[in-house]
Amino acid sequence: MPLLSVAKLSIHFGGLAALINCSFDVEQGKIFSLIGPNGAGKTTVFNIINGIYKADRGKILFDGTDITHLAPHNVARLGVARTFQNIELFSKMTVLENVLVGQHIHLCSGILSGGLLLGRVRAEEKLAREEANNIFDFLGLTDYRSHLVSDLPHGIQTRVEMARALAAKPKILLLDEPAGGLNPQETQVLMQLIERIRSDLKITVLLVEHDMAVVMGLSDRICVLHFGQKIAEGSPGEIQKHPRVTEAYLGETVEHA
Amino acid sequence: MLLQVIVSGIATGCIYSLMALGLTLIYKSTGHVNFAQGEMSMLSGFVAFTMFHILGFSVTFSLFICLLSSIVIGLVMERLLVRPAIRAPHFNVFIITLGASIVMQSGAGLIWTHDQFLFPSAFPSETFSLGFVRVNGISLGIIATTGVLMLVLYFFFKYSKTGTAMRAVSESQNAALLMGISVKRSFALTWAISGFISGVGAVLIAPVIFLSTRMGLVVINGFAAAILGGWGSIPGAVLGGIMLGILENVAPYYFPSQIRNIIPFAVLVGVLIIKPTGIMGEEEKRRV
Ligand SMILES: Nc1ncnc2c1ncn2[C@@H]1O[C@H](COP(=O)(O)OP(=O)(O)OP(=O)(O)O)[C@@H](O)[C@H]1O
Ligand SMILES: [Mg+2]
Repeated sequence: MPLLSVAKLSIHFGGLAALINCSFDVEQGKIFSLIGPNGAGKTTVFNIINGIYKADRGKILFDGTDITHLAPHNVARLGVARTFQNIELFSKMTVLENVLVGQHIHLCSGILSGGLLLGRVRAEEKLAREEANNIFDFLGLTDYRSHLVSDLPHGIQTRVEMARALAAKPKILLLDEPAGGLNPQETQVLMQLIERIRSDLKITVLLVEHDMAVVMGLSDRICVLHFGQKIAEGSPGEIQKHPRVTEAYLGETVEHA
Repeated sequence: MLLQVIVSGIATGCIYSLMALGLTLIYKSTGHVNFAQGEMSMLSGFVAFTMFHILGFSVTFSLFICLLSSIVIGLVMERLLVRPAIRAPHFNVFIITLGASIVMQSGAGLIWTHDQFLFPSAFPSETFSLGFVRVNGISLGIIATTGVLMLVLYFFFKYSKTGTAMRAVSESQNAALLMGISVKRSFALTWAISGFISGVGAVLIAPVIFLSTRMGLVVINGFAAAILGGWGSIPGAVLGGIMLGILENVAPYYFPSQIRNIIPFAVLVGVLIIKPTGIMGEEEKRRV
């Protein structure tokens, strides 16, 4: 059974059909990419999976649960974490605080005990901080842990957003254009990180990315969207040769890869 | 003498700070402006009044119920008036709370009349000597209670899991949702806390200015305090309230009675001309 199964998804905004009958399956432990030109509907797929948008038609199964009609915070609780195309960090908080918010679903202390610093809370908090430190080590963020997010450069913020997502210990991580605005060096580091998220942390990755080198280099499988419709799916090799894909991209981007 | 006046000014200011704080918390976390913050105070004051004056319970127990009821009032306001309008523009919600404040005020008048009632203070009214200053016990009680409440709130928002989550919601609702935080629950909690603050306000203020249906008008001073301190800033709300209180109490000693009521307002306008965002307000930095 696939970890995530998207079946016949359709949504429209006013007169615009942003997704039409879109289906794909993401297998456990794979890196699966969604690609397509601007406005193809990639981010919309993420928003529907997260429960931010409600699909007109279609069904989404995650880890055996029908999440089509779940509220966003409940989808998150099942193990779906995400980063945004335009970084959406809590920028008036420190890096550490962002990660602590990311751990929210795993911290069980209630409203009252939280304010009173009871023993159990202290123990829980200590554990949370240890886990946060592991994530900082993993992503190379240790030096920035007490910085305010708004003071950090874009490249670091991208990693902070990944740290916050990983803090939720997700089963699947949705990354929306993580290489956007990164220089070639940073992109290299990012690719290694995504690979290690899959191999070391055993987290399945659903990736949206315009940088074809990243997509072709990382993906096990690729699904191509064009004006809301799936036009192809296959391995990187298959996608590069696919006539309709080359057509959709006007032959340029795919050849680079 | 002046020192004494300043101390009682701080006490008055604490009341304004509490009002401003209630307004600011709701504004920061939900983006809404709650015009009924003062009426929430007034209603919980009348709940206490009913408990001890009509039903004959002890004052302590009545004040406890007053605080409890203020939380309930906050939650009911959120559930009944604000949540149904969650997708509406903020301005609509402002008008809704304005309407609610009028309904609450006249409703309270129907039940309890528009008279003024004595309200017992939780603190002794004797005067204490603190070094050079002789301070009224009630003033001292107001300042201490406000101080403790502010500290508790500070630690709650800074360090507790729930408080941190609420700060997250106030920064980005979408991102917070995807961290598994329930925004609705966070909104409800914000209103509960603001309600509680208004209840503490009722317990502190009603003994000083008497209990009446017009008590809610203190929200105007709360707005002035929040704007003076910097709209949306929590430390600003506290500072603005205290400054306003001190000004109001000190002005009569230096200015003729005809103009003393203008002084706080004049200072407010003056500050806003020099720094339009208020004392602690942040400059909006928009990306172009
Ligand atoms: N909330 C919305 N309201 C109206 N239209 C929307 C909304 N969200 C997305 N759309 C439209 O749906 C289409 C798909 O948008 P989407 O953001 O999913 O594209 P994308 O594939 O992520 O593109 P990009 O590569 O530019 O990020 C676009 O035409 C977009 O304008
Ligand atoms: Mg997009």
